[in-house]
Amino acid sequence: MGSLFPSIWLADFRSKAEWDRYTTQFNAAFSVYD
Amino acid sequence: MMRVDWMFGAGDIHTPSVHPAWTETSVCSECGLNSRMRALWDFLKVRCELERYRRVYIAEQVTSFYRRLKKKVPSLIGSEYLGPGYKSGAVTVSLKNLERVRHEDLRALSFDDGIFDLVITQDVFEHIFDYKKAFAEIHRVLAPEGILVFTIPFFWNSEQTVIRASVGNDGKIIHHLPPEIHGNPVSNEGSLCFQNFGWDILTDLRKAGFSDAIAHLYWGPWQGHLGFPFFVFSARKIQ
Repeated sequence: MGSLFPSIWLADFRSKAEWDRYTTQFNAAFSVYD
Repeated sequence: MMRVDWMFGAGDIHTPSVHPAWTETSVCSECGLNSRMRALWDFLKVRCELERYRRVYIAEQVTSFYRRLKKKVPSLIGSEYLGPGYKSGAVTVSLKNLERVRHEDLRALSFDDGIFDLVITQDVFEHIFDYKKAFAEIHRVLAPEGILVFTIPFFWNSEQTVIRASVGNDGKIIHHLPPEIHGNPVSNEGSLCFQNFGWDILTDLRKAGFSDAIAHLYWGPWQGHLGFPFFVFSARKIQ
């Protein structure tokens, strides 16, 4: 599986606002599995 | 092969179950580095192209990470903080492991201006009272286009840094929260944690003169980076 995900670097953030937007999208993407 | 242990593991009010401190575990059986150290190493190699740098300073010296980096960058300069009784630049013998160690206080480095292209720290800034002074001092010793790369215990759900302890005018430590002591490779007494960093650390870096300050999110269970979310930080000096 490691070869399918060769990079551990997911995203860069310059503020909490950027992080909050990311986590909102992240949570929305994963909510389909709930 | 990775070894996961429960060292530093803990629960909290948000997560009632006890869980490992993921950054401090998943030690690789080959390189001996834990998840945090391997992520930093990966960042230096992949994101920074470590091979490009010759003038490198790291704020540690008696660690396996230092020895590994020294093989890659023979000109590497390392140091430890040995206590207030030492002058930056002094070389002495560590009482804990009897190694020759250079002392540097990140708030008053002995180095000339602009002599490093890369400065690295791992879980150091939380132990520095007046860490903003350390940011300014590192900015001073970096050359234009130089970069600071570091890790810290990071409270990603907090906008503001929480000051756990400070130093009064009389030099005595004032505890605003219960003392939190972390391990220290050159002291059996450990190191007091002065602050829990929030996102405003990026603003503090920019105020210290860095043009860009970034939190780099990493995750990779197949590479032994478990838990979420964890970050390596970078800040670049333009002029």
